[in-house]
Amino acid sequence: MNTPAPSASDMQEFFNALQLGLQSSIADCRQDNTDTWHIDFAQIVPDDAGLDIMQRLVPGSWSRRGKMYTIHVAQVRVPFPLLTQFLLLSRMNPDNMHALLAMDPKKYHAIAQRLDLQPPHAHATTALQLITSRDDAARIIFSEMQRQHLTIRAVAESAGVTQLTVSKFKAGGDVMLTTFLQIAHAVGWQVGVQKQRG
Amino acid sequence: MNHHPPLSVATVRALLAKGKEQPVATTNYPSRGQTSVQKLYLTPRGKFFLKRSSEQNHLDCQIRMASGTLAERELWAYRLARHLGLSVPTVWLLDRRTTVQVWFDLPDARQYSTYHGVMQLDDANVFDCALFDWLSGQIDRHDANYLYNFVAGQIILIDSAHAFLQYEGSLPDYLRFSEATHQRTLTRTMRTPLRHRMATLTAHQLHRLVPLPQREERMALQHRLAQAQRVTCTQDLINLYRRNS
Repeated sequence: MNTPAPSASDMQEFFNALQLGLQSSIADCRQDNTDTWHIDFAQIVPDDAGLDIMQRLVPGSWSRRGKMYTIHVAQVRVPFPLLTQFLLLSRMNPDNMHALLAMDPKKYHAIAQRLDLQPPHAHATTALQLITSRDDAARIIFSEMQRQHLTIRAVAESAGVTQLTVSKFKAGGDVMLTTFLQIAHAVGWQVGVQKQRG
Repeated sequence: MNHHPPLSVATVRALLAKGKEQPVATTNYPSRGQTSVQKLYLTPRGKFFLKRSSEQNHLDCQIRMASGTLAERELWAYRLARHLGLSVPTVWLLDRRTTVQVWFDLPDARQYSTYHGVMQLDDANVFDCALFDWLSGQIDRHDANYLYNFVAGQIILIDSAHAFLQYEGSLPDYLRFSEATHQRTLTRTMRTPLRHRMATLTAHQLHRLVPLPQREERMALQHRLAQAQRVTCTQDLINLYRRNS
């Protein structure tokens, strides 16, 4: 990928965004020549996962003392403003990184490859789930409640139904369609229908 | 996201003492408004953010420290949010001018909209936040004063110190955005747990959570509580802001 050379200001923004995701502390970032930047670390935190992510995103080399990381900009081959965006939004949090990839796989394709991030399979918050029975409906809703730490009482209040109705639904009992829609909405789901294939 | 076990102030102090101060950025970190000291600490219990306001900060904000400092107001806002069930970062008060709060690794709305795109807001979440902001009389809810959890599609209110004053603020940034993008659902009756808790909140409970020393501010808060308890939908909240603007 041919990318324009980053400006000093692009690099400064990149280092700021990088620091937000690291546990180790950056003391200084300085340019050696047009292609080479050094990151001086004030302190390296052992097992800082952020450093591993940094090395994958911007391959470079450590000095012998182990506190200076050198980047050759031409070898990075991903635009630094894009790296900055990714770091600022994700803060190197795995859930955030996967969500960004799911939202915009094309934009973050090169970064996903560097980090070996796989497109999420069925991310609970975004997946389309097929309901073919009352049990399916109850399972999906209650696993979402569990994920969000929602109680039956909270869902019942939010949906405007009784706790007994939610409990009955959990046990696989039949409920009215409007009740199901209210419960689904209360846990943050939308319900749709899709034409059968074949 | 904020499943932090309750910690005493003494424990938080000990954690800060044991923790390592981390740069929030290498250079050119943007101004964070009326706060003179801001430090991020990496502790064995996660990242904590310390904020300390000066007397000058209070003068700049036209807040009399005797009627509640910025730090105290931030703590009261946290207590109220927690009582109502709103998910916000845990806040501790170290002294009258200093708070410590849990740091969330999420972008704020300004960063998200600048670097990614349009936020997908959740109606119930927006309603809850707006109801809380109205009750607390929040006057400073700009786009860097709330985080956007884009994984869950939820906004999280932060930096709520500019609250509980005698006068009301203008439409919070997220409500302005929501009004423009969610017109069809603005008048939908919202039956959220937070609204239910708001409906049962008494003036006595409110005073225990938010012990305002100044009578005028106390009266204003109780007046806003009465208004908030009549709200049924997001449009009602927008109308409250419009009527007062």
